This record gives sequence, C-alpha cells and structure tokens, in this order.
Amino acid sequence: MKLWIYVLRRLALTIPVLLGVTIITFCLSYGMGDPLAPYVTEKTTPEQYEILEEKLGVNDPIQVQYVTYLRNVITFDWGYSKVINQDVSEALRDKFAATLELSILAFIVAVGTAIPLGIFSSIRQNRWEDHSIRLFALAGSAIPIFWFALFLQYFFTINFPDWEIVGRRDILFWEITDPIEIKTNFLLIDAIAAGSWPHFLDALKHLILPATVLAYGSMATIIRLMRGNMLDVLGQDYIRTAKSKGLTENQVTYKHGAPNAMIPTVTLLGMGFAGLINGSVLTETIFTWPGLGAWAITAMRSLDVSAILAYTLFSAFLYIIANLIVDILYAFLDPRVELGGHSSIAEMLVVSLSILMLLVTFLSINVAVWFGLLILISLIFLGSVAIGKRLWENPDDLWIVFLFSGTLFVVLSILSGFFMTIIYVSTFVYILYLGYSWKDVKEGLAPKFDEFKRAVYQIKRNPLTILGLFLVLSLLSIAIFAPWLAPPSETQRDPMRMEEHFEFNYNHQPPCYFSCTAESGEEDGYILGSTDRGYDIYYGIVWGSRTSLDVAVKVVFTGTFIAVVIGAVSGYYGGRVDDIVMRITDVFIAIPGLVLALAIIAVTGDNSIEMLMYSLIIVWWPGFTRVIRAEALRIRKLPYIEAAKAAGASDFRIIFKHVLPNCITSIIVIATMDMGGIVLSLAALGFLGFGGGADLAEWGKLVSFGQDDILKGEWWSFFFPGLAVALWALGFYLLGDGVRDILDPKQRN
Amino acid sequence: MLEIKDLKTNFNTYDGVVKALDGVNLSIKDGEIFGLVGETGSGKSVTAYSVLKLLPKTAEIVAGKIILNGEDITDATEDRLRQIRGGEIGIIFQDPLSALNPVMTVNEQVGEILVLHQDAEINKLAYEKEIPVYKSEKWKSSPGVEFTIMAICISFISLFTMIGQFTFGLPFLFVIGIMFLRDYLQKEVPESALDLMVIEALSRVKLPNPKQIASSYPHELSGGMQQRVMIAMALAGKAKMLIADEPTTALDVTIQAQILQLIKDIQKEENMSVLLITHDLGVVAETCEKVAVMYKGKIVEEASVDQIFTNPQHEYTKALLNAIPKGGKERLKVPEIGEAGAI
Ligand SMILES: Nc1ncnc2c1ncn2[C@@H]1O[C@H](COP(=O)(O)OP(=O)(O)OP(=O)(O)O)[C@@H](O)[C@H]1O
Ligand SMILES: [Mg+2]
Repeated sequence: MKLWIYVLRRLALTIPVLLGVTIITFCLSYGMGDPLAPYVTEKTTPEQYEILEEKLGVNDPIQVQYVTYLRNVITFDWGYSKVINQDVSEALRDKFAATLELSILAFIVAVGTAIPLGIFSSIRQNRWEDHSIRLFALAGSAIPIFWFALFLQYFFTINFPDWEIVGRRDILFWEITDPIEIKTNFLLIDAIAAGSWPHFLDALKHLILPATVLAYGSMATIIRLMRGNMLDVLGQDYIRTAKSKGLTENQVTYKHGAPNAMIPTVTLLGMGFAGLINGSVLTETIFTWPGLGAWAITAMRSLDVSAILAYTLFSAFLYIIANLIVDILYAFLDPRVELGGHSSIAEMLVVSLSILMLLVTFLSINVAVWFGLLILISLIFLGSVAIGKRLWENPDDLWIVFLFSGTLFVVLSILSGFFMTIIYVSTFVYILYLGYSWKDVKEGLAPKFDEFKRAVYQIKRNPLTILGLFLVLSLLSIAIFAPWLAPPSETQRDPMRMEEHFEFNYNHQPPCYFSCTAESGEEDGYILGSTDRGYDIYYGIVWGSRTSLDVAVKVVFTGTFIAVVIGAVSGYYGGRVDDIVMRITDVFIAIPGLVLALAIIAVTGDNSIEMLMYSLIIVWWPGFTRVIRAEALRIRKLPYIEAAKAAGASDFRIIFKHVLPNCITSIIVIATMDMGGIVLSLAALGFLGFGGGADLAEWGKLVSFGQDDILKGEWWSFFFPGLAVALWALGFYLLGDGVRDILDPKQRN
Repeated sequence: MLEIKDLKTNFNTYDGVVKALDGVNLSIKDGEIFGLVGETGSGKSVTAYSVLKLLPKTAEIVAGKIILNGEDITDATEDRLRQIRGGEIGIIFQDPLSALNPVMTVNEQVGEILVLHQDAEINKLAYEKEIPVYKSEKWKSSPGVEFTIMAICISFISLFTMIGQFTFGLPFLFVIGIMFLRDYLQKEVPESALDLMVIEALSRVKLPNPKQIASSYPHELSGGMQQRVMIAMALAGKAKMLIADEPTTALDVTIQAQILQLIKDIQKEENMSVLLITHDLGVVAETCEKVAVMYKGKIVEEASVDQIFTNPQHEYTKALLNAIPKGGKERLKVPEIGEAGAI
C-alpha cells in the first residue's frame, strides 16, 4: 500500500516540472520568427493568411497564447512538421520505435558490460587491469561520439565493403525481394514475429554499429560510477563483518558488495539516459537512422519550429519518465528509503494547483488564463510578503536581494555582450576581498592547504595525471602560439576564417607530414592534408584550438560564477530559497543538454559563436549549481561554521569567507572537467553545423567536412580534427580526475 | 586457547610506514574473559583484526606468531582461515549498524553463517522434522529482485502503450498479475530448517519476538537489538571464542550494561573464551578475569584484574587508573536485566 502512495506521489511531483518545461518551450517558440511560416506558401492569399492568423492566435495576448499552447500540448495537438509533411504527434509515434530500439539495445549493452567491468576494476584497484579499464572508460567520455562513429564507418567501408553503414534495414530486401509485415516498427521484433531469420540478421547488422557508438559513452560513465561506488562500499564495516563470517572473497564482493554499490549507481542511470538521448541525436544523424534525433536535426536546420519544440518537449518527457522509474527502482533496491515520507504543504499546494491548471486548461481557455494569472499574482504576492517579513525581521539579509539582482544584472550583461570584463573584474575583486580578510579565511582553510600540498606530491606520482597535464599544457600552447605555428596568409583579414587562408587551394590532398617539400610550394604541401573544399587541416586545427579555448573559458567562467553565487546561497540558507532554486534547476535539467542547446540556437536563428556560448551557459549552470549547493549544505554543518555563527558573524561574511573557499575543491574539479566537456559539446554542435560561419576554424566543423569523404577512403579530414577534440577532452578529464581522486579523502589509501 | 607472540603489523601509507603493532604478546586461556585496554589508537583493533586477517590491503603482518589451540595459524591458507572465521572465532564490532549489511534482512545475514558452518546441523534438523532445508522461495525475501522485475514490466507496458501497441504489453501485465497473486498463493510456506535455526540463534541472545526481528532490516532495529543480532551472528557458527571490539561504545549506558551481562552469561553457559577490547577500565573491572594494557602498539602490562586495580606496575596503567572518575566502578554496577523488550 505504502508503495503505491510513494509511486503516486512521485508521479504527482513530475507534473509541476512538466509545466515548467512547457514554459521553457513556449518561451522558445515565442522568441522565434514567424510562427506562420510552416503553413505559408507562395499560393497563400492574404485572406487565407488572416484566417491562419486567427486560427493560430498569433495576435492574442501572450497569456492566452501560452494557455492555448498548453492545451495543444496536453491534447497531443503538437502542430505540423513541414520537413516531413506530417503531423508532429504522428511523426513522434512513427519515429519513436526506431529510436527506442536503438537506445534500448545500447542501454542493455552499456549496463551489461559496464557493471561487471566496474566491479572488476574496483577489486583490482591500482593494478594494471584497473588502470586499463579506467583508461578505457575515460576514453569513452573523452572521445567525441561523432568521431567514433565516423571511425567505425571508415573501418567497415575499408574492411567490409558489403556492410551497409547507414540506415536501418536493406530497403530493397525488406520491401521488394522478401516483404514482411511491419507491425511494431521494432524491426527485430517484427522479424521474429514473421519468423524470418534473414530479416532479423539484416536488422541486427544495421543496429550493431550505431548501438556500439551510442553505448560507449554511457558505458564509460557507468564504469566510473560503479568502480567508485564499489571502492566506497568495499571499505565499509559490513564488508569486514561478511569476511569475518568465513565467506570467500568472491562471495563478499558479489553478495555483499555489489548490491550495495548498485544502489547509488541506479540513481544515476536516469542521467545516463539523458546521455543516450543526447547521443542519439548525433548517432542517428551520422547513420541516417530514421528516428527522432535525425528528424530533430533536419528540423533544426530548416527551422521547423513545431518539430523542434515537440522534440524538446518529448525528450524532457522521456527523461522525466526515466527518472521516475529510476526513483521507484531505487526505493525498492534500498530498504532504508522512507516510502512514507510526508509531503509539505507547499509541495501539495504546488502539485494540486498544477493539476487544477491542467484540468481547467482542458475545459476552457479563458477560465484557465484567469486562473493562471490569479495563481501567478497570488504567488508573487505571497512571495513578496514572505520576503518582506523575513527582511523586516533580519535586515542583515538585505544583501541577498542585492546579490540576486547583481547576478541577474551579470546574466543580462552576458546577453548584452560585455560580460567577460564583468566576470574577470568581480573575480578579481573577490580575490582581493579574500586577501583582505586573510586571517579569518586562513583558519578554516588550514586543512585544505595540507591537502593541496599532498595533492601536488601525488600528482607527481600519478602518471595519468601527468599525461593530462602534459596534454592540457601542449594544447594551450598551441592556442597561444598559433600565429607562429600556422601563420595566416598575407591577404587574410581574419585568421579564424579558413576560406581566406589561401586564395588558391587544392582540395582532397593527403597529408605529407614532415616531408612536405618547399618546391611543391605551400599550396599543395598540406602537413595534415586538406578537405574537400581545400581547407588546410593543420591550419584549422591550430586556429581551432583558439575557438575551443575561447568558448570553454567563457562558458566555464560564467557558469561557475552563476553556480557559485546561487548554489552557495541556496545551500547555505536551505528552506524556501533552496526549494525554489532546486525546482528551477529541475526544469532545466529535465531537458537533455545538447537538445536544449540545439533548440535555443535553432529557434533564435542566430548561428553565431556567441549564441552558442549563451546556449551552453544556459544548459550548464543548473548542474554546476546543484553540486555547489550540495557542498554548501554539507559545509554549513561543519563545527567551525557553527562556531563562527555563534560568534555573531553575519551570513554574508560566513558565505564568502568560509563556505565558498571551502567549496574550492569541487569548484576546481568540476571546472577542470567541464573545460573538456564544453569543448565536446562545442564540437558536437559544430559538427551538426551550428555555431559560427561555415568556414570558422573549429574542430567539430572540420570533422563534418570529412564526413562525406569517408567512402572515398579519405580518412585524414575527419581523423585529425577529431583527434584534437579527443585529446583536449582527455587532457582535462585526466587532470580533473586526478585532482578529484587526490582531494577526495575517501579515495585516499 | 589463543596465543599471540611478538606480533608486528605495519600499514603502508602515503606518509610512510606506520607501525601499528610493535611486538604484541597475549595469551588467552579456555573459558576466560580477557580484557584488552588502551587509549585510542594504541592498536587494540589492529590486534583483533590481525588474528583473523581482516586487515585492509595496505596492512601487512611483518613478524610474530598466532597460535590457536596449539595450531600455528600465522600463515594459514585462505581455506583454513575461512573455517576459523565464524567457525572457531566470532567477532563483533563497535558500531553494530554499520557492521550489518543494510540491504539484507537479519534472517539472510544470520542464515548465511549457519549455512557456512552448520550445514550438517541444518540438514539433520530438516531430516528429523521433515521440513525443507533452505527457504523454498528464496527470491521472495529480496524485494529488490521482485520490484526490479515489476519496474521493468511497468516501463515496458508504458513504452508499448506510448507507441500505440498495447497488446505487446499484455504479457508483462500478466507477469505483474502473477507476482501479486503469488503473495496470496504462498501464504502457507512451511518454515525451513534454516529459518528455525536462525530463530533459535536469535533467541539465544534474548531477543524478544525473534521471528519478527528475523524478517527486519538492520535499520529497523534499535542499537541494542542490532548488537544482539551481531552477537547472535558471531556465535551462530558455534565458535569457541568471541572477540568483542568495543561492543558497547556506540550504545547508551543502560544498554551497555545489558550487552555486557549478555556476553558474560553466554560465556558462562558455553564455557567460551572472550577477548573483550575496551578503553573503559570500569568495564574491565566488572567483566574480566585477566587484563592486558596496551600502549603505542605494545602490551605494557598483563595481570589479573584485582592486581591491576590494587597494584599497577606500569606508569601508563597508573595514569589510566587515575583517569577513571570517582565512583566510576559504582556507576557501572550492572542492573538486573529486565524485559529485553525494554531495549
Ligand atoms: N587503515 C589504516 N591505515 C593506516 N593506519 C592505520 C589504519 N588503521 C589503523 N591504523 C593505525 O594503527 C594504529 C592502531 O589503530 P587501532 O584502530 O588498532 O586503534 P584502537 O586501539 O583500536 O583505537 P580505538 O580505541 O580508537 O578503536 C593507529 O594509530 C592508526 O594510526
Ligand atoms: Mg578500535
């Protein structure tokens, strides 16, 4: 009985999140171009145009438009997709099976191999087996999915020319030679239902490559998680108890260790699922898989708004459902979870209001508009009363208001362009502030310094971390010394534009490495070869490092800034503030990152590199914020913070002098890792053709130039730029991983 | 019973080698309660773990001999060690909650050690009473498996419904139905011999309502009950010796006394040897016959309890004795054990 109440409660709690997601997608649609565009052709008469306007409610006030949109969403009237000439909801149903078949197989492969590997790696800790599995896992996170996919395609075209490297099935065979009925659109199941072995084999053959590609990334994450959790669990007291009973090593590991380590792993499988959705966008595009992801990209390239929004919304749905299942699973795996858990009044209020809102929307749009406005106004009223009351009682807290308005200002200035200056200045001022009150800070930080000393000592001993440091430093120097490593041509106005690099270019040149002779002239002496348009790959890689560095630094800096401010305040105060911040991050996290970034770029129609940065910041801050918040929650309970509080230090001082400097470990680790992660996203977006002009020196773009040449056996144009991305990400991941292992006391031994 | 000769154990850490034990000598006779006292960090736990080789991987026994009933077990094989652990020497720890596996029921955890060391007994009981040996439907007792299956079924059903192919979900619906029905069909599962033995082991440590406790998870029990379960587990394999590593430190005072009394009672009934590790001389005075004082990885004094209290030899022992608050001995006067349910 309790069980069902728990499930129902979790189900109810997803409704407000879903409402939040519709607000985001609505904002996206509102912020974009002409909503009539999909319906208008040359033949549309002005009268028809007006009727259309009327029907779509383009001229209605914004609240009416939103409610109409909401009603359309809940009645599955999701609009019309012009790229495939089909109703969106129909298209979703048709294409979902293809995506699902791929994802399920990938998921099974990923989980099925990752968990044993993670366990094995942990019981062989610090031996060669462990090192190789860790490297394998790290490579999985660092290697760009699209590069791996192209690599496999290249390998199969060369070695198995008969192997079809694109599509879902051999159409000729399935439709003409030997047609079977397609009922479920899960081809494997259909083949089994028809009892046809050749069909099954054909479908499987097409599935293997994309599924491998898709699985690898998630597999890497799960291996690392499982290994970490296993190490954690194996150090627990009950493992010693199990040994003291006389169980064998294996029984202890698999019967007592693994089930306990599975619990935290399962909670993160939901995130792994988001990774699958992100990955399927790229995988499906490369393998021309007729699923949702490929459709979404086509839609984004041609500004098919209803399709973009529908896909975004649908991904969020999937993600929320996946997390729901994971939560329920978690409650069953771990007997310690309180199934009862009582809902707070605020929670029940939010849930019941959301449900009411949906119901009313369904019945009458006008009533819903008033209802929604009423809720909004009363929420704002109640909120201001609560805030007012609190400030009246503790006037000291006024600074939070300033802080939040300050953050808002910074975020707005990000959007207006001159943000880096502000962020550099505020970081500088904060460091000055720390220096000024150094005596106080030092006291709390003393143990941290020891940790850092230990860290430096250990970095010297860990070969993988050294490798990471080496990679990072070399790539940074390439970015810095670009003008000397690859001098732009004399006529070139903008060194970042490859089109301008040489006036006369030879295309499809193989690399000549170090033997490029002077007499062959610059034009045909391409160190790393040239692309189909004659772009010099070496030049592109060298200058592309500047794009990567630029984007990564800006996004990481801004994201950290927002996350640190909001996360620290939210975690330190807890309570209402925390609730609100967490619900907002919930909504953002519910939409898989790459999908949201793509949707923002596509819908604004602004394909500049700046827009790409903004979208990455929007995608990135919630994750950051959560980690910082969790840290702040933990830190505020530390004894010396309580002591500082008892001594009458103001919250402002405590947060800035004690809480933030104490988060420094996590901030450094996350920021380092995300320097890699952001370049991976940048490259993925670039590969899909978003962000910056078509000839911008950017690694992902360069890879996409090589995509079509694979069949000709030209490997260099996708290989080298992708290698650069992988090395960049690997460098930062290794470094971040090394630092975390060292600074996390649990990992010490 | 147990003899430790010149035992040296080192830890290899990043900061260098830590000599946790630096020549420990101990000798525990049959049927004796032996106290081991010392300040924190003096190496009491490491001594206990060294005997059963329960040390972390970074530790290494570099010298010394461990002799159990005349048999040198210093270099015993892994197989022999497993017989000793739980079968000949049982051990309990300071914090019972973290020492019990949080995702297994008491029944499973106690049952495990019975299967390892009392298999013949279980079979005999099953044969005599004509009942099943082990639990006939093992997976029923693990909700994890059951609900994982349930969750998978539900997700498949919802997925198939989403793509408009509800019929494909029917088999999964069927599975769920069976799982619900099964609960009704299996109400009358006969108790297995293993169950009976577990319940017997639990009643030996005077746990009230052992049947219900057997089916609970550790976090559902109070601290005192958890420690009793630990004791039941340590003794279930019919061990002739119990090592108790600060068994009462994590408990509050009245329960401490009850647990100590329980250990004393059981020791008397079965004529066991007990190595009682503590940093509380009051406990030693109440419970033990002989005592050794440990300091910085060495035994600095070994004597009978009376001698230690009346005529301490070593400076450190004197310091320890002075640290006991006045009336400390009175405070620990063991109260009559009342209803165990009062825990
Ligand atoms: N895992 C470990 N790694 C490194 N050194 C350890 C480890 N465990 C114990 N030690 C060292 O061994 C010494 C003895 O530890 P031990 O746990 O036996 O102390 P104890 O007498 O049981 O103390 P307490 O009363 O606090 O339980 C300690 O000084 C400690 O430095
Ligand atoms: Mg100890």
